[in-house]
Amino acid sequence: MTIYKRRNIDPSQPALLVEHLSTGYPGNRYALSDISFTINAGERVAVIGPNGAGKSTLFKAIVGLLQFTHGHISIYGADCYSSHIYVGYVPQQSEIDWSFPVSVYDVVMMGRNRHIGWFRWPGKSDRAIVNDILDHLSLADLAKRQISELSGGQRRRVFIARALAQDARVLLLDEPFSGVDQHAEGEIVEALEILTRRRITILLSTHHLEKAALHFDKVMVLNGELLAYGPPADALTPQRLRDAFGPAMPIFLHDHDLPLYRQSEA
Amino acid sequence: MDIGNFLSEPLSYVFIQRGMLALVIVGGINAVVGCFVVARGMAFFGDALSHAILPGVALSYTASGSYVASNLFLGGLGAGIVSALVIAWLTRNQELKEDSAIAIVFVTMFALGIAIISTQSSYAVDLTHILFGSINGISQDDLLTMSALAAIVLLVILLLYKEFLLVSFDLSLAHSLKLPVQLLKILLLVLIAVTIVASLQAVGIALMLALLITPAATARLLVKRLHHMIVIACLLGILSGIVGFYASYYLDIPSGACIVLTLSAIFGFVILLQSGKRLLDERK
Repeated sequence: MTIYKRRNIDPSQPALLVEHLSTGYPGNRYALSDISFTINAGERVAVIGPNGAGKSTLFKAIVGLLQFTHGHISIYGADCYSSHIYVGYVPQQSEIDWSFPVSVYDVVMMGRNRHIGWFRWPGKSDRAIVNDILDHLSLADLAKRQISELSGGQRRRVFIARALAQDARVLLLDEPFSGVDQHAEGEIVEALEILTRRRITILLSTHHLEKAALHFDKVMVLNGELLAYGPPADALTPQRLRDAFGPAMPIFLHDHDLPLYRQSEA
Repeated sequence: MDIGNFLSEPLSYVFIQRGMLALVIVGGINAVVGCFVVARGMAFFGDALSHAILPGVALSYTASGSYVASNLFLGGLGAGIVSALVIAWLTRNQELKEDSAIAIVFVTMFALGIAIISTQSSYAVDLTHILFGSINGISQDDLLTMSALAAIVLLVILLLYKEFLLVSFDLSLAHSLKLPVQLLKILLLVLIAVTIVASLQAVGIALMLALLITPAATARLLVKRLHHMIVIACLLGILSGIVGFYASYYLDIPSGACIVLTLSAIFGFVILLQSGKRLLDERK
């Protein structure tokens, strides 16, 4: 369809390879130091860590929003500076101007930008793709709504739909579970299922350890550096969590060996 | 006097026809560009930019000794672009808040402009023309330059609409798609500057902001997608240009003031209509 189509995807390579990544920004010069990990195609990885642990910074480096000082990031074997079309990004809700005059359909169509190409308007095939995705994520009835007229779960689904329209192979979601009710959580988890069925690799940051343990193949514990990375049962040990969140962190070991955590009533 | 006469009488003079055409062009193009300004919440920037072109206009005016449109366009455009770039440079690492940077650049440029104009003996008249426009002084050439600039602005927006939308709404997606974000942002600012400069003669600096903001803000109340907003705002801008023109002719009030008051009246009408509708909805 366009020159971007699968141009530099090498399926034999890991979906995301991060080597010795160090980065910072004004005010925090060493937000991340010497991070290395590999994520295979279709895997779901949850990134957990306290506020200021560098979760958003890591995501922004992978997306290309942030210049990093050291290290290398590659997506399906291609340098992250050349392959961004394959990386979808669902920013934190506070970073979106919800009063902006765009409809659900408009936002999802934005994902088609590079496929449509310069100086052109969306064609028949783009409209068909967007409508198909809206159907798939049960957003078709909301297509004409302005984005502020949506519930929390719907808002996240719109941005997931946009990543699908973009044909992203790797999707980064920054705190999608924060500030949503139980119903919306269910909607988001369901949308993640759709992504996994399409073998889209998911990297998601969250505060919820239960969710990380239940819905993800691997968990990454981050606090400036990579403290643990592996299947939930290995990564979420009490010691690791104390390393990341501090000794005051209340941790309860559950029957099936998964350490669960409950937020202390503040 | 019948309605046909009412409408055609002012148009019996060529210079008045030109004035009317100018108001229509200016009303339409400001409304289109203004939609991006309103959607991105940069009304203050628009106001600043319209004032910041003054030294450029003043320089080309004093240099050529006359009010020649093409010179004024070039001078104003140069000053506008310089101001936009200086603001971008000042705010590059967030130590200075953007509104402060805009305010400083804006007043500096405006003061510089006044200083330049004050060297002329016809100071008061010149300043009045630049601040409030001089619709009757528009020549055939001026009108042609204006139309050409308007056509360029509209064409660029038509060709790059989806990129401008993306850069305005979600910078992170624009970056992640590897769009030339800085270039697009600057191009959008240049389009605003071109629009302002093209409107200078018709409405003047002081009232420019209303043309940029009011039709777009009115349209935002009526529709919720940017391209719909652009169409509605453009129609409102043109309508106000025409209504303002006749009001100016028959009431003998400056055209700039008439067009702005028309826009404000439409805005007020829509706001009242919507509050009324909301009240009725609540009562149900």
